[in-house]
Amino acid sequence: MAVLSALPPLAMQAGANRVVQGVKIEHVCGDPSLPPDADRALRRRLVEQALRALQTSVEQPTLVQAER
Amino acid sequence: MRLELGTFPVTRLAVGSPTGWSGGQLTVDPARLARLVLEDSRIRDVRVDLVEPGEDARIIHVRDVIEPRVKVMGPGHAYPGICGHPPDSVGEGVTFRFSGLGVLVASEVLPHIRRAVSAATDSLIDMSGPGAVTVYSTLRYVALTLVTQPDLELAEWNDGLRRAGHRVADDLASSLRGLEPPERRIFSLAPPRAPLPRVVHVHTLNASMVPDIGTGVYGFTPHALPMLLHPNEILDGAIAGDMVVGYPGKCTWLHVNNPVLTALYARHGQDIEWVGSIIARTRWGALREKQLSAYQTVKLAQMLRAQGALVTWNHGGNDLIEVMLTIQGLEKAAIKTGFLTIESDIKVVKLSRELAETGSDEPPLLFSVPEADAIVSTGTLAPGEVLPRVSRVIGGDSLVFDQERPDARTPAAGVLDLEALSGAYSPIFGHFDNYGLGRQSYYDY
Amino acid sequence: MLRVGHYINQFFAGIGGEQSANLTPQGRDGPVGPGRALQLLLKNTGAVVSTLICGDSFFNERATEARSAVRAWMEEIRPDLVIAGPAFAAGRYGVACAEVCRQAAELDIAAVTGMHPENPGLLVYKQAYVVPTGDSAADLARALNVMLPLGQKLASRVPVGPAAVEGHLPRGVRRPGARGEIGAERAIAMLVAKLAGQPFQTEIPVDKYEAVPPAPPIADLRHATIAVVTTGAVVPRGNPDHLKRCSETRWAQYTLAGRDRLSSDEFECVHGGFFNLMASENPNLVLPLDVLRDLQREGKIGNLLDTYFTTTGNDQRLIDCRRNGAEIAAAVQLAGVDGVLLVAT
Repeated sequence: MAVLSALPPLAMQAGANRVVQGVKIEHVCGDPSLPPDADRALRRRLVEQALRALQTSVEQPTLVQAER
Repeated sequence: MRLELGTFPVTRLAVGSPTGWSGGQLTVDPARLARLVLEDSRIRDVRVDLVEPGEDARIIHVRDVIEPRVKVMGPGHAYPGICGHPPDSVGEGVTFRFSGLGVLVASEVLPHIRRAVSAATDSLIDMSGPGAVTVYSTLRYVALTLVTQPDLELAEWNDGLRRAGHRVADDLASSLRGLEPPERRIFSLAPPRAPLPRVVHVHTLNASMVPDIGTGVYGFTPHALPMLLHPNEILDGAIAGDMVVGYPGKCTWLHVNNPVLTALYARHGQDIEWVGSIIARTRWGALREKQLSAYQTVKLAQMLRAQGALVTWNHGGNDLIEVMLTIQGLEKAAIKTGFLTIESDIKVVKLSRELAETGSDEPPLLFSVPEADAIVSTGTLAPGEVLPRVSRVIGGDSLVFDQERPDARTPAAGVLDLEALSGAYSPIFGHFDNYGLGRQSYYDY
Repeated sequence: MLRVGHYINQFFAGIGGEQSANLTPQGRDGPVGPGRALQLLLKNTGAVVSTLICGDSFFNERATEARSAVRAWMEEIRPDLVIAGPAFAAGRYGVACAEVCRQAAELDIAAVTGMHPENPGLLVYKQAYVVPTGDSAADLARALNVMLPLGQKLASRVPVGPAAVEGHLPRGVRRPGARGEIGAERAIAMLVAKLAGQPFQTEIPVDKYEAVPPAPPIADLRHATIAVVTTGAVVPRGNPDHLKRCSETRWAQYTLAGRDRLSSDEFECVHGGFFNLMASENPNLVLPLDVLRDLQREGKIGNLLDTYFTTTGNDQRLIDCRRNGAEIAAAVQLAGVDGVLLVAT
């Protein structure tokens, strides 16, 4: 399981082992202030990050960073 | 900044004319107050009731309680920046106030507002019996039951109710001009004669995620970066609540009667040098914003050369993240912290005897940091029994206990088994003792 | 006459150190090692009737067998009170002592242990009665002097006082009670004491959640079935199951079949803990179906489960969260899901 959360410290304190930083509480997977294409592209990057987290070996609560 | 507060204790309420305080009795002219309220066409109807503590009475649909205060000398207006009051900085000169009195605004939440704002909950104050668990059960009220136009938008509803409440509060308070207060007290942060530990008050304040409502500082409600207030500004009403959200920490009366201010003033010059109150808004939506607010609060504390910080907060949920990040930042900057807090909302929801006997294993705090090692808990104010039927109800007839089912109404005068009725927030107005007015707490068992 | 059962490890039994850590569980009549000090404290009010000795490595590596042995021992000797350790700073011993306390609790037998406040045993069974100790056996006599009276109270079922009074660590159970001064004054007094370097006692200990062992990574995403779960309360428009905006106890599941994205015509967000307008106007912001479909179409993931799961993560009780999580986990396992995306708001 990978958690997408705007508040990774909270998720990690509760024991979530694979955590990805979301945008904001109100819109974790995107940004409605962006044009629709840009918002969707951002959403895609976040979900890909979460899927990458699912393929990553972890020992403890880990914030999986965005790929450069 | 030197503020003199002149206090007029209210021990009796009476109907009559003219409005005036004398020897503890406040005489109130309901017809006059009704006329004042109805000056605003957004208010369709008003009822003025006088309510005393100890009465067999229940006040419902409580939206806010306001302590009437008036500046008799010095710049600005009490409760600055709202209701047309100028935003001039306050906290100096002479302010007169009533003690033991509140102007209470009661108004039923309009259906479209209840749907839009889940925090616009119904509430009650029992003036006697097992439900009289909060400070609000000990005040005398000039209670205004207001019926607004039914189609008001959120901001208009809030503003109409609030202006009505403050028109009445201002009217009552201005009757004090020219009188001699039985109690006078000077508030000033004069530097101590010998060096004392410098303590900053970190007064975190929820900002609403819904625009235009919530607690405001000089009327400014949106999320903003931390600012510095002199405690006298708070005593003059610089922090005021709204008429919409239901959580206890927003109440206007509470902000001018915040016991943390009293306790800090009592220690100033004795054990500590109080260097000011940092107002940090909470409930930011992004972690980066929460961090920024926390880091700037720490920086302000450092610029004040604080050695200690007393941290408080007034709401729940994700607000606690930035509060804890602030505590963590302060400790890392070698500023020792103390934290005053309620315990997790969830315990209060249960409102049960079970809690007293077997205890709760809900975590006391949703989130914490290892640096938060000095915490005072104000526990819960949940009553241990069902609320009995009452002979007098002010503010309406029936209550909604489930925001999802607004048509399921419970008669307010009858027996109220809060544990059975309330799956969500406790409806008791002021059920969280955010600032430690009482001695109730929790213990580990 | 109080019947006391004492659990100790191989070292305190005088059998040996690390080399004997694989010792299989064995019972002895009467007190052994530190049990003798315990017997002296009991005087003629009770007796250490039996001692169970187990190697720390055995307990940790063959945990199931060890737990069974402990249970069998308790069922056989039927003590009124079990004393485990104290374990001081020994981590595996602390873990074993905590487990012994859990077994005792399951049999409704009073149990007390003791260990250093940093001992990992504290994360094993939160409700154990643990007396804090120093990090070495030099603290044995003092520790037993606190552990035994507490144990005697628990065994006689008299109400015990707050943890701070009875001398044990917080167990995650809290009850209302009044204090001497009002909260505001206590807060300043505590800060003043802290600033002066004087001792103070926090009223809320910092909580530690239990650790969750991480699942192994997914080897090949292109053949994996992914499910999406959200605590953001995304529901079909109209909220047919009346998912509450706050304090919800249940979870719900809805279909994603035949949809390329979540549209605001069909779905909405009913979470009451944040400004949910944006999420209702574009539910993909909380349940990212649009990009998941893209990824599915491109073969980057094998399959997306047609059902999604949701609840309202706003003022939920821990007991409901735990149960909902377990039930959703069971449901996705049944559906052959390899990985889950949980979007938390």
